[in-house]
Amino acid sequence: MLKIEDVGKCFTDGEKEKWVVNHVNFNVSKGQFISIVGRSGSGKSTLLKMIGGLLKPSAGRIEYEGMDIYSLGDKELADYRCNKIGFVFQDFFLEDNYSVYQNVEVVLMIAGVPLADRRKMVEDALACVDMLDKKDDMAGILSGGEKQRVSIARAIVNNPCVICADEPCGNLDYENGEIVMNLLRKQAQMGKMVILITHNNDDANRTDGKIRLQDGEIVKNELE
Amino acid sequence: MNWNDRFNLMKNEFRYEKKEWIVVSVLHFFIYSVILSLAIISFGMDDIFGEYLLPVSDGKYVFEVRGYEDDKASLERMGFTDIEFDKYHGDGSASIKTLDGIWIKKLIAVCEGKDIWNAEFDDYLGVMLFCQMSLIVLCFVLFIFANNIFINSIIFKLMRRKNYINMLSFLGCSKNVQQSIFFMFFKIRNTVAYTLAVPVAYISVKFINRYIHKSMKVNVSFNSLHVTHVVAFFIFISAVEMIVFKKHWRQTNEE
Repeated sequence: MLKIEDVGKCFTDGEKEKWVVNHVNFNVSKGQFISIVGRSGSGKSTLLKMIGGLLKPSAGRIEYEGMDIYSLGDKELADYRCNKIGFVFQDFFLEDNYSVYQNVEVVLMIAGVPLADRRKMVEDALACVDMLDKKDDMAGILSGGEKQRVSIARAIVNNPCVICADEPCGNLDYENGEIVMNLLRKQAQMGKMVILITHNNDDANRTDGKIRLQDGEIVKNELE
Repeated sequence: MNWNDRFNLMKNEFRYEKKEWIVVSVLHFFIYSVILSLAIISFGMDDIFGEYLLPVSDGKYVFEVRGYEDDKASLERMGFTDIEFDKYHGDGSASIKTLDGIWIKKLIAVCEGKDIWNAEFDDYLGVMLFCQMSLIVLCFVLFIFANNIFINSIIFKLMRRKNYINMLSFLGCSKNVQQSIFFMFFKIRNTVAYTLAVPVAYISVKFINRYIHKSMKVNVSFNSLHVTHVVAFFIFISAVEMIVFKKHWRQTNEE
């Protein structure tokens, strides 16, 4: 279980303090596909970064299986991100000069998975997103939808427990957006926690529960 | 991440901004070739000057010495022979076969409140010292220039690969591993440049030696590079690279 307890994030601009996320509380269980919705600037991405171990909260705790992730050292936190979290971003964050295979393999390199085991893991992940036939293509020549599928393959290749998807359909057309949402739903059905950040209510309605953020605070929590 | 994978990711970095790293490597190669050549010439200039002036000084250089009446041993340690003192005036004379390190000897004498001079030669020695100092200052300036090129290269690379570095962070790659990947990239690139500079400096000095033998009729040569000098040079450059890289990596990450 992922527990977000009274989490807040404050940024300082000179003497001014701005709480972009404040008093956020919710839990996510295995197999749940939840969405965090809100307008631009409501604090969704900041919250996702904190959940993903990328940004330390100014207040509160984030617990994964009872462990406060920000009590970990830098190396342990990096290991947590590598082994427990899979990220999917709106801008894909793929290396255009790497092949599809290499883009997915990077995660396993970071995780220290032996070379002998990597091929099967990468190919299984690419098969899951229907991109196995393009494994040797350079990522730079793929379409937006294909890139996002590779991004999902990279997010799932190391079998993480949590998938954090930040506006994954933001740069995609309707058809590719559907494919991405179905892939994320499939991951939840396989027992992973899937957290979707979106400003699109249609996408949010396809999840198991919505949390609505406004000015950094929860105004509606359908998970409770 | 094991070192083999880090090496593979580092190798991929050579695919990016090819023009930039090729130009920087070539510049470093030229600059370090010049630095090494000038350093050899500067430190060997004593011998060359000395040999050039030898025909007018009957095979040895006679200096007047002051303050060594009770310390003949110091002069002998410095390589002086035929040491004589005027028992009434305290001044004396001593001769030496080579001008190698003569200014160090003069400086040591001055620091001890003594003196070693030759009214006839000192003008020539002054010119020699000026040339040596100019070359050393030029080496220093070129080194600063090479260092600035390196700093710009680091900043440029880290700026252009910012998204990739962020991606590695998202995927759980620790900052230390990221740093090692990029440091390896710069280390290998620079090492190739200044490794190639060593034989070029060696060949340049050989040409200069041939010239001074033929045209100046001087029998001594500039010393070629010894292994210890090359190793010391590599260690020094590597230490500077590491300090500069770590500093700019930290600054870029803080931004």
